[in-house]
Amino acid sequence: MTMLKVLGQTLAAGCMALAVAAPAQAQSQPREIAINVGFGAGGVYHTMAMTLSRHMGRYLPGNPTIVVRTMPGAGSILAANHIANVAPKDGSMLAVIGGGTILEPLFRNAEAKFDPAKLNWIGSTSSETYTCVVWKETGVTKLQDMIERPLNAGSTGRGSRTNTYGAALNELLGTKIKLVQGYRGMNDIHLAMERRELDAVCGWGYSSIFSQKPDWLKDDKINILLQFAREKHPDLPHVPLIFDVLKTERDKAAMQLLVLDSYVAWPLVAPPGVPAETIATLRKAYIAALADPTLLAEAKQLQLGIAPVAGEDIQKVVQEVMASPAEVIENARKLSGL
Amino acid sequence: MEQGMLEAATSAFAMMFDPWRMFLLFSGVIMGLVLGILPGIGGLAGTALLLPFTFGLDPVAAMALLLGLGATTATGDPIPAILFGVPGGAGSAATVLDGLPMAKRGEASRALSAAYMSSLMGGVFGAILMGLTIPILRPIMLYIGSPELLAFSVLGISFVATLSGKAPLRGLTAAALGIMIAMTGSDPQTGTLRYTFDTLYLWEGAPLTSIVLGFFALPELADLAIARTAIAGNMAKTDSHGMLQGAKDCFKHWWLIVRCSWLGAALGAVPGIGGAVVDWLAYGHAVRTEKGAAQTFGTGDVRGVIASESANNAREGGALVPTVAFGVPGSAGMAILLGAFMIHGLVPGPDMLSKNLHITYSMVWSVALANIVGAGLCYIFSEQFARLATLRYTLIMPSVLGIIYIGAFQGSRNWGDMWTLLIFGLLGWTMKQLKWPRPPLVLGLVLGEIIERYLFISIQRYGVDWFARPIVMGIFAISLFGLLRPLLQDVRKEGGVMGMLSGYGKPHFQRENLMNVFLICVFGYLLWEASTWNFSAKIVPMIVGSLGLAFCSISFLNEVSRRPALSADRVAKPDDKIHMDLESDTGHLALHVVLVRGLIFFGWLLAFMGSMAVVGIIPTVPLFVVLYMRLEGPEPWKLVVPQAICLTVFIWFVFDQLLTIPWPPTYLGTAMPWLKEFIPSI
Repeated sequence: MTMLKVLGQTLAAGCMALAVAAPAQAQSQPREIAINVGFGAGGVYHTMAMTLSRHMGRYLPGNPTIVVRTMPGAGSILAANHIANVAPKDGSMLAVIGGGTILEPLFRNAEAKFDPAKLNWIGSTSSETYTCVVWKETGVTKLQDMIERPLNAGSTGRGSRTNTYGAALNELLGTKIKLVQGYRGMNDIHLAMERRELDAVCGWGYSSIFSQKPDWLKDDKINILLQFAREKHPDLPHVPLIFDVLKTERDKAAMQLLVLDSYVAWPLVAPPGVPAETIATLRKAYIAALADPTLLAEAKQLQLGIAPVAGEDIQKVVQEVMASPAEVIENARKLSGL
Repeated sequence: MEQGMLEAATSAFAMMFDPWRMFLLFSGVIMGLVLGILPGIGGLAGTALLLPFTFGLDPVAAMALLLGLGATTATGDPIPAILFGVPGGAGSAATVLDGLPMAKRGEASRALSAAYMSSLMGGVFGAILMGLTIPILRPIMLYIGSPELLAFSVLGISFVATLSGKAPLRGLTAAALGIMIAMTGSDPQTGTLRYTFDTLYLWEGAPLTSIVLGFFALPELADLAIARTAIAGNMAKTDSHGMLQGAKDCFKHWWLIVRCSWLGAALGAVPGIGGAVVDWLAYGHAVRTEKGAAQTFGTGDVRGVIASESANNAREGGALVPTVAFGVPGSAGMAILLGAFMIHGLVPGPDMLSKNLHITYSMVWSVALANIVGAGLCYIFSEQFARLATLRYTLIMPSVLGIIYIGAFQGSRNWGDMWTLLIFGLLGWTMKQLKWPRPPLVLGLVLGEIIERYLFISIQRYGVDWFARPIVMGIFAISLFGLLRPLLQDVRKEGGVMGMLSGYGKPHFQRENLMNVFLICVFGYLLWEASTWNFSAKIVPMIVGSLGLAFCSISFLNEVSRRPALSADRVAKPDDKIHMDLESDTGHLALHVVLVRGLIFFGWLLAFMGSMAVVGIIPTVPLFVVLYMRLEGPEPWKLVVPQAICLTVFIWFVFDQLLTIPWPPTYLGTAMPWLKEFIPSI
C-alpha cells in the first residue's frame, strides 16, 4: 500500500514538474526534433540519420530527443518537397535527402517543388567519390580500353546515377559503354556482375565498395578505372579523375553540376525561413556530434565514413550551382540523359 | 565438405541453445507475432526498429533476435485472415479463400490450427531445404541470370489459368488489369512516369500493401456490414476437437506441405518475387495437383489453408539465401538484416559459406526454431482468438477498420495510401459481388513488373539469344502447358469447339455486364494514356492493354449472347470447376438493400478519411469507434467506451511512439498549431 502511495506521489510530482516546465521549454527550444529520411528503412541514409539521432541531441540546448522517420518516395523528392513547403520553420523538423535531388529543380523537373538555394543546409556527414568499376576477368584495365571495346554496364534506369555517369562518358569521351537498364538496385547489379551478365558499373560510391563488397577488393576481383568527384580521392592517386580527362571547359562546367551529389552526398537540411540563429546552433551541434567519440565508434562499426562537410560550405556551393548559366545547365541535363 | 557442413550445423545448433540467445529469439518471436497479427504491418518496420538494439550483441544473438521477428510475422498473418477475411499480410491473401469459409462454417479453430501447424511445418521444411542446399547454392544462383528470372515469372503468371476457376476470360482480364496497374510509376528503363496522375505518391510504383488490403480485406468487411451478422453466426466451435482436427489435417497432407514449403522457399530465394504471390502460386499448385481440389477449393477446403500458409512461412527461410550468399536481399526485411550483417562485420558472399558457415547455420536454426516457438504460442491462444469470429459485426468492425486504415497508412505514410485502400476496396467488392476472380489480378500486379524488367534486361543484354537458354526453354514449355491445359479441358467438356459455339443466341444485356463495359473503358483509357510515351516505356502496356481489352470484350460478348438456359438447366457435374474466389453471402438480401448498405459502409470509410483530414488520424479513432458502435448497433456504452480508449491508446503507442510515423498535416492542426502539443497526429 505504501509502495503505491509513494508511486502515486512521485507521479503527481512528476506531472506537476512537467506541467511547469513544458510551456517554458516550448517557447525557446523544441523538445523533440524530427528527421524525415527521404529513403526506406535500413538503407545508408536511414542508418546515418539513426546514428546521428542518438548523439546530436546532446549538443543542442535543452537536449531534445531526435526522432527519425522514413518518408520514402520519388528518390527523396517527396521529402524535399515536404521540408520546403509543409514542415514547421522552427528547427523542430529536418530532413535527409539525396544529394542528387538538388539537380531536379535545376533540370526543370516540375514535380520538384523546392528551391535548393533557399533550403538551409546543416551539413553532410561526408563527401563521396563515385567510380567506374570493371570486373577484372574482362581484361579491361584502363580508361582507353573502354573506348576500344564495348562493355555491358548495369543501370537502375535513366535519371539514376548508375545511368548518368555512363551516358555522360559515352557522350564526352566516346566510350562504348552499353547500359543495360532496369536493375532494381546496386545489389542486383553486383550479383549480375558476379554471374558475368554485366562487366561494369559506373556511379558506385568508393566507400560503398568497402561496406558492400570488401571481398572484391581483397580478392582483387575488380579494377577501378575512373573517379567522379570534385577532387581525387587520397586512396586512389593512380585512378584518373573525370576532370583530368575532359578536354573542353564547356564539358568541365557541365560535369561540375553532375558531380554535385558527390560533394553533398548525405545532406541534412532544414526548411527555408528558419531563424538564422537556430540554423547556426544546428550546424554547430551537427559538427560537434560528428566528432563525438561514441558516434565515431558506432559509425565505424556500421561502416559509415565520417568526414563532415560544413553546412555553410554546402550552402555556398548550392547557391553557386543554382546560379549557373542556362547553357551549362542545359548541357549537364543533356549529358545526364534526361 | 560434408564433414565440415555437419560439424558447422551441429556447432551452430549448440550455439543457439545458449539461454541468452534463446531469450532474444523468444523476444523476437513475440514481437513478430504481435506485428504479424496487425494487418498491413510487416516485419519490416519491426526489424528496422530493433536494429540499433543489436549493436552490443554477438552476431549469433543479433541474428536470433532479428530472424525471430522476421520469421514469425507471417505466423500471425492467418489469424485475421481466417477470422475476418482480412489478410494479416500480403502473403496471407490466399488463406482467406478457404480459411474464412471454414470460420463461417464454425470451423475457425480447425482452420487456425491447420494454419499454425502448416506454418510450423512449412517453416521447418523450408529451413531444412536451405540447410541441405547451402553448399550448392552459390553455383545455382550464379547460373540463374535475368532470362531465367524472367522465365520463372512467366511460369508464375501462367497460374492465372488455374486461379481463374470457371471464368477464364474474366480471369485473364483481371490478370491484364493487374499487369497494367503494375506498370505504374517511373519505368525501370527510361524513367518515363507512367499512370502517376501527376502525383509523387505513385512514382515508386503501385502501393502493394494498400492494394492487397483494400482488395481483399474491405470487401469481406463490407459484406459483413451488409449481412449484419457475426462471421461465424452462433456456431463457432472453439473446442479442442477442432484444434486436434486441424493438426491431424496437416499430418495427413504432409506431402502437400513439403511441396508447398519448398515452392515457397525456392520462390523466396528469387529476389524480387516477394511475398504477395508465393501464397497464390502454392495455392494454384495445390489446385492443380490435389485430388478433387478444383471442385472444393474456395469453399472451405482445409488443404487451401495448408498450401497457402506453409508456403508463406517457408518464404523467409528462402529469402535468407540470396542475402547470405550474395548480399542481395530476398525481401524487404532481409534488406535490414543486411544492415545488421555490416554492423557485425559479416560480409555476404563465399565467406558465409565457408569461414562463417556456422553463423549461416545458426541463422537457419533461428528460422526453424522461431517457427516452432511462434506456432506453439499461437496454438496456446487460438481458442481465444477463434471466439472473435462469433462476435457481432458492430463489435469488431471499428477496431479492425481502424487498424486497417492505419496499417495501410504506414505503408508509404501518404494520403495516397488511403485513396488506394478505398478505390481497391470498391473494385474488390464489386468483383466479389459479381463473381470476378480476384487472385489473377494480384498475380499480374506482382509479376507484371518483374516480367517487364527482366524482359528488357534480357533483350538489351543478350539480343534474342536469351530465348535459347535451356532452363528458359524448359520453363516456357511448362508455362505453356499450364496455360493451355485448363483451356483444352474446358473445350473437351463442352463438346469441342463446335459444341461451344452452338450455345450462343440473341444478345441479352444484364446489369452486371456493366462491369465489362466499365473495364473496357478502363483499358481504353490506359491505352490512350500510354500511346504518347516513348517506345520502350509503352511497348508492354500497349500489348498487355490490348490483350486485356480483347479478353474483356470477348468475355462481354460471351456473357451477353450465351443462352442462359444452358447454364441454368444443366445439372452440375462432379468435374465442374468452381468459382475461384469467395462468394458474397449476401444473396438472400434484395439488391437495393445490398447497395444501400454497401453505400453506408463505404460512406463510413469516407467519413473516416474526412475526419482524418480535419482532426488527424489518432483523434479520429475514438470518434469513429464511438459513432460506429452507437449508430450501427447501438452497442451499450459500457462496451463502446473501453474499446474506444483501448484502441486509441494502443494505436498511439504503436504508431506514434514506437514507429514514429510522420502524420500528414490536418486542417485543425494548421489552423491551431498549439493543439499539436497536446494531441498527437493533429
